[in-house]
Amino acid sequence: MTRFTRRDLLLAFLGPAVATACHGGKPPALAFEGAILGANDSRGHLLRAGFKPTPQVQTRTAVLIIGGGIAGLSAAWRLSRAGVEDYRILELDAEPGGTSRAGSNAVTPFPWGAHYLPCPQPHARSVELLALEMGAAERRSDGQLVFDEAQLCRAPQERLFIADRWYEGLYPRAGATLRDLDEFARFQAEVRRFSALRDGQGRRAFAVPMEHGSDDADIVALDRLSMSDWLEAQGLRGERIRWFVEYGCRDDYGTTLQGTSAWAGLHYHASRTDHGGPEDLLTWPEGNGHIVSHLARRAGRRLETGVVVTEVRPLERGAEVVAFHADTGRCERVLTDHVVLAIPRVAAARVFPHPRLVAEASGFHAGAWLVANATLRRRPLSRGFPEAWDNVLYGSGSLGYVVATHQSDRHGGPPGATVFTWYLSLTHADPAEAHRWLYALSWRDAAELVVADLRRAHPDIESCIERLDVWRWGHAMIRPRPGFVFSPERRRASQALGDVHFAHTDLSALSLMEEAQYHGIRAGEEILARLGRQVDSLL
Amino acid sequence: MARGPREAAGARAATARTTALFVAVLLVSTCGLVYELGAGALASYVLGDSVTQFSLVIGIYLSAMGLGAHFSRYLERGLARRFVDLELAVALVGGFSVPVLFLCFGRVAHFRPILYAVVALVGTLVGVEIPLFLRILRRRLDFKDLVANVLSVDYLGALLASLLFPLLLVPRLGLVRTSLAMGLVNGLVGLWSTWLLAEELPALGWLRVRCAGVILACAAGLAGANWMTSLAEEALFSDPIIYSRQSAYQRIVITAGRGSFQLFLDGNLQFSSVDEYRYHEGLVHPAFAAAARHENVLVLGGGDGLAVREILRYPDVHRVTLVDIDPAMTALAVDLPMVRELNRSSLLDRRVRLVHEDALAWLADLPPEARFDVAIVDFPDPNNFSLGKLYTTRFYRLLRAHLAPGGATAVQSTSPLLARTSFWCIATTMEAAGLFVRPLHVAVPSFGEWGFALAEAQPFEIPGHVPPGLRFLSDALLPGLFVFGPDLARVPAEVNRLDNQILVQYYEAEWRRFE
Repeated sequence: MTRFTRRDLLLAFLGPAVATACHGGKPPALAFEGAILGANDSRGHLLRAGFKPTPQVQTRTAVLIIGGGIAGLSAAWRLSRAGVEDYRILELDAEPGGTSRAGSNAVTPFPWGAHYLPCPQPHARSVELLALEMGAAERRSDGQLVFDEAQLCRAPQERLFIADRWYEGLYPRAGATLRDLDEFARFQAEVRRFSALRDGQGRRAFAVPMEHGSDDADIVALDRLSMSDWLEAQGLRGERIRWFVEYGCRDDYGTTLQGTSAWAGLHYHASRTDHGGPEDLLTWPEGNGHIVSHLARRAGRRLETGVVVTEVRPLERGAEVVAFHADTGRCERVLTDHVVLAIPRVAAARVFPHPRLVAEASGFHAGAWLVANATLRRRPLSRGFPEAWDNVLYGSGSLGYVVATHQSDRHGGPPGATVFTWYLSLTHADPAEAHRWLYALSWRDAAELVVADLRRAHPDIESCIERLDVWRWGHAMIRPRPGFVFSPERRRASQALGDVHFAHTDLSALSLMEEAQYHGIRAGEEILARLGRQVDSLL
Repeated sequence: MARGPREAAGARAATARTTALFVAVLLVSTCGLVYELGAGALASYVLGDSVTQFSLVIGIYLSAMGLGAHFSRYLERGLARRFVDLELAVALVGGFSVPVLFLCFGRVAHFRPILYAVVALVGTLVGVEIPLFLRILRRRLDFKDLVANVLSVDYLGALLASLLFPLLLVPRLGLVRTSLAMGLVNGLVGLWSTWLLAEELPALGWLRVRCAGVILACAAGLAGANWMTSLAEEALFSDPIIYSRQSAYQRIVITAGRGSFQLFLDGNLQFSSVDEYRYHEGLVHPAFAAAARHENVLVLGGGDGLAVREILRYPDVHRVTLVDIDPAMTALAVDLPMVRELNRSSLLDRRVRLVHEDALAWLADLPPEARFDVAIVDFPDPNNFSLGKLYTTRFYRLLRAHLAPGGATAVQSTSPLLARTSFWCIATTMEAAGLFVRPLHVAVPSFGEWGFALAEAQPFEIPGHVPPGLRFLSDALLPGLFVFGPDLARVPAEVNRLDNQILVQYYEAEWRRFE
């Protein structure tokens, strides 16, 4: 693909509303610098190119965890809590965290991906434990969990830019007709109904982790519909309600209404509280990088970064793993009793080409994401409701931006300096096409997109930006497309193959921190069981 | 025969020119009176006592005009050129008189001598104008017609000025721009008269260049006035703005009127010099009366230095740490004589340490063992989310953790009358943070009924003694401040937390009724 025309670019990424609004306007001068960063594509591509280094040394470890994202780090966390300390974590990138990683500059730390953790429901024991351990919550004498005020998302949480000003909240109320409002109320009533629903076994209709939710036929049946079909069946056809629901799909899954399973579309709204209202969130300036740091600290030197695992071969007992240390060029054969493959499903099938994995990996579609961190020297002009944590633009293909300093009392740089983290999910029906679009993008293209998107709400945004860096996530989030969540291949995906265990958020068909943690802990507990440890499950 | 029409045309041209000269007289005399009215209005704004100020200004101005008339006799030759020069001088001195006086008022210790000197100077220059004019026109008209016409036009100008000044100029332009606009008119009259008096003027080109220079200076002054304060901003305040600055955090404005001055932050009144003592005595002394010791004192907000003034009355205060986010605010409290006089140079006291940081961040980073005997919390009202966070359980928990045993804190808590739920929300929030709260209220006329929350980390009794010699508080008055009548009595309110910022919503809803 060649260089984009400006209109192509805006149309493809931000949609017709923004493209039309910017039509005829001068292209931004971009008086700031920046670069494209990105999860180390070249190392990942080594694997796809069939890179086969020869091991020079042989080592042994009891447990080898491949992948230093939330899933792999959580597997290690579970083992550590049970007193099993003989493990190693091998991470491809220079930093751990996967899509939860964070960056930092003189002004503030900021997220490069996942950036909040909803306060857990009491059934989510492992998330509660983690929150307690991180000091984000305390258990009161009456057993009630109390979250730390400084780490709960501060008010105001959300605002929406519509027409020519900002309004509080995410639903586009400004200018809504009575019919729009009625549709919104009906949707909320449905969400409330699902939130309060308990099945014959007392399970929620939708839960986090999803394994705690109901698998009754009528709930599972929702997976066969698209979210678009479900809205249609409810008679919810207005532009605003569809925008609102689609925003949730784009935000959590990187998918359109047509591309999202109705089960997943409803899960987003009805899994967190009993009352169907918005849940409390824990968040930090660096987003979920905060959780990564905590888990990585616990793993200490057992976490090794910049290591390319090229091969996992099961043995009669245990497995042998070929690991290439990119920095030193050293190649190692690791003999291990247990492997946890805590990497995306497609990558797992590549290093461990077991027929079941290879056959089923193609069902796991991952969406591509573009994230930009704009460092601002001062706040831009803004009309209407004041700056919130999450700032969304109605009618734009982007997801808006999150303000990194919203959660902090102190930041570097001049007064008013901050970092805006701007998100865009490429919702193209064909993930390969989204991937191509993403990698055809230059830094300049990406910077133009951000400026064009934000300029509608902040006319002087260009003059406020000091630096803008871009991250391309080629495989950012698993897509819960219709039929996939309860497909046999997804439901089988967690089952271990010999001593090779699997952990990753892909295995839930939902890209959530809690799902990644669930699978990490599950894999850890599978190993603990094989080690003959009697442990109280945290799941 | 051939000369007839030309003569007639010449006569018509001469008549037209004479009429134009009378129009110039009208303009000049209008400007002259506007300067006088401007100085009088300014003096009564900033010094109060308008009868005295107006009398003095008019007296000085008129006598200076007499002096000017007297001096006019020493102008012998080249009267036309002298007249143009005079117009330029009046344009500069008169035009810039009001802005210069406003700038001086906040910045110099002795304002009155400057005021009267400027009035005298403008009056003297204006006083030269009419006698000079009479002499220039002497050759064109009969003496009796001349005197009658010039004086009647002069008085007409006075009428015009006295109508335009209050009805059009001040309401539309404000005092500063009115004065500069009159300077511009004087400058233009100067330029115009280089044509009207062209026959009597040598070196026309150079003269016109100078006229243009003066006109440009006045125009630049007008632009500068716009840059200093926009017309829209001036319309927000009931009194003239004498200081205005956009700091990195807020717009700081000082207005002066009725013999007092007022400080505004982002358009919200922080104090009026006339009654701020009631506010600051009510904020500081009950906390000092309740606290077991006074050695180590913390002030959060309060960069105007007025609370510190009250604190420094206590000889047993060893150290005052003042945390105000805005260096521009504390600089103003030190550098502007009018403010420094009011706070009695409190921020220059060697016991006072200034910290420029966000108070919440500063508290959060304080070493755990740091303790204060008294903490005075004096933030602007919670009218936005950045201020609202300074009224949350998180803030009060940190504050409580840094109170010494027997320590007391007083928190400015907005008006229990005008924003009743907001007031009680602050007390409720402090209680939720583990503080024991004794709310009190005082009457501050420029604010209305105002409230504070006195608190300690343990239960305590209402204090009984304040130092003698205060202007507002006395031992007899003190217990009454803690009594809340039915219209101020406690109402239920939610706890203000970082993740709900409910106080900002209460506050906005309550104050909206008064906008």
